[in-house]
Amino acid sequence: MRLRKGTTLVEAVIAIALMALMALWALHLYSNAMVNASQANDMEIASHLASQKIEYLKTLDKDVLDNISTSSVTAFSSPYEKFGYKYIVPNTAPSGSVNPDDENGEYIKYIEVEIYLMSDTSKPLIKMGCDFLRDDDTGENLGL
Amino acid sequence: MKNRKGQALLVVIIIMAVVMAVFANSLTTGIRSHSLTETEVYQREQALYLAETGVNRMIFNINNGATYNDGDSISGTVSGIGSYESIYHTPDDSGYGGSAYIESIGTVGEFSRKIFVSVQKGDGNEAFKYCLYTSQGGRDGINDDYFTNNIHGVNYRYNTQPDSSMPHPDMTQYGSHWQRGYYFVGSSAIYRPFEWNDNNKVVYIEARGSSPTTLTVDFQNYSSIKLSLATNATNVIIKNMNGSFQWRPADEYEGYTFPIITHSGTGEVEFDFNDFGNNWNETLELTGFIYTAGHIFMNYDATFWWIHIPISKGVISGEVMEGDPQGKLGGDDGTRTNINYVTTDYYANPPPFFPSAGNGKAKVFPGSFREEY
Repeated sequence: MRLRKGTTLVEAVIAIALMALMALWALHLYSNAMVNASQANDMEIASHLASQKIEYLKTLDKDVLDNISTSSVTAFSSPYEKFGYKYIVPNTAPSGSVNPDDENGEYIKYIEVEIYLMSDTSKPLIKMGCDFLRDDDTGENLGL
Repeated sequence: MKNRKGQALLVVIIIMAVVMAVFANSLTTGIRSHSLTETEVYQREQALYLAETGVNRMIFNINNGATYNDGDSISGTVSGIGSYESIYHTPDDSGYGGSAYIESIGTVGEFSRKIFVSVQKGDGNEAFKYCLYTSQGGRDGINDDYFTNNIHGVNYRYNTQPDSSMPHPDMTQYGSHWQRGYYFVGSSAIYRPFEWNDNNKVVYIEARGSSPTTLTVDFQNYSSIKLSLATNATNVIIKNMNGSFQWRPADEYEGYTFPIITHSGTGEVEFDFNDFGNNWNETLELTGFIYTAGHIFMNYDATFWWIHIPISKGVISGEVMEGDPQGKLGGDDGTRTNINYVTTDYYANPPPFFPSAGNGKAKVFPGSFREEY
């Protein structure tokens, strides 16, 4: 009879230990999931902000484009102040030619936009780049 | 009995653990999948911009003299981002009315996006394709410096478009500057601008005979003229220039500077120096554009190789300007030959009054963007 009571106690202890392990594991999973969800959310916003910047650059006149150079990280305004952007103007364009290239009344410039979390400006969340083409004489956008 | 109850509890808890594990795992997989989806969204956006980059790059090249045939392509890689490939297709069968279309593929990671745009040539810009691309430069031959087979210098290049044609100027737009139009029916004709009192006029001479046709411009040894000549004759021969001849275009009209020759024929514009007086220091001074669909040829007798032919202040624009076949242009014993290209103004100063004169550049046909999914 005593032996049976002792067995029940051991089973109960094992059950409690198992439940505790399950709870810890669930907590770990939950914590990871929250981090992943937060990162996914940041990526989604960063992607939209980068696209927004590229689309903005598409609207600029040649003279304004010409004045854009590699910048430092600048925070977006509210409600996206958590994020910052930075323009990169590489010395060479994708094809390896000089950047910007200004020949015979034709102007092309390759610009990259990097999006950062302002809490960590050491590494961009994402980077997008695009060529911008303008008629040097009229300023007209000849491309996309 | 109690022992059995303890075992049952254990079994229930283990089953609960398995169920919870499956549930938690599916939950985290879902969240991870969502995170991956956001990365894909970014990559798809960037792939599109890279495809656009390829289109812009190809149009830039076209406007800088590159000639693409059906199936020709360009590609590029952006460090840390991805790559693009753009393919030129002609004709444009998309219905947008472009002269060609560009297929461009941007690739980032596992994702590619393919876009298409039609390309239209610049309105009325055909004439510009015959402009000589040049910066300041040319050749200056003095003493024993001959231009053997190269009278161009190094700071120039031609823009040749094999499928282009030169339109006729709209002469009615020249107002009082247009003296009149002449035509000839046979294979050749002689035009004497002084005899016909065409000084300071824009003159169009149309060849209506069977090609090839030759128009000879006889300056009758006068020393200077203001004349802007347009013709479709296959060949043009310019002769009887005085030993110090100056040829300038007709005066500016409403801000337009006229070229001195607009030649839509595909033969030669020949400057015949054989009529020079074989004297030292004879000069030919051209102070305007020459547009030709053919090429410019300097003709002189090899026995008079020492003739001094400075084309100073001249701006010569032609599809093909041949080298000096006799290798004697240049300087000798103190003589000097100077061919001077002094403009970069190819587009802002076009031949005026060509139909639908535009800025002369290829560009994306508005609204022709489409994407293949």
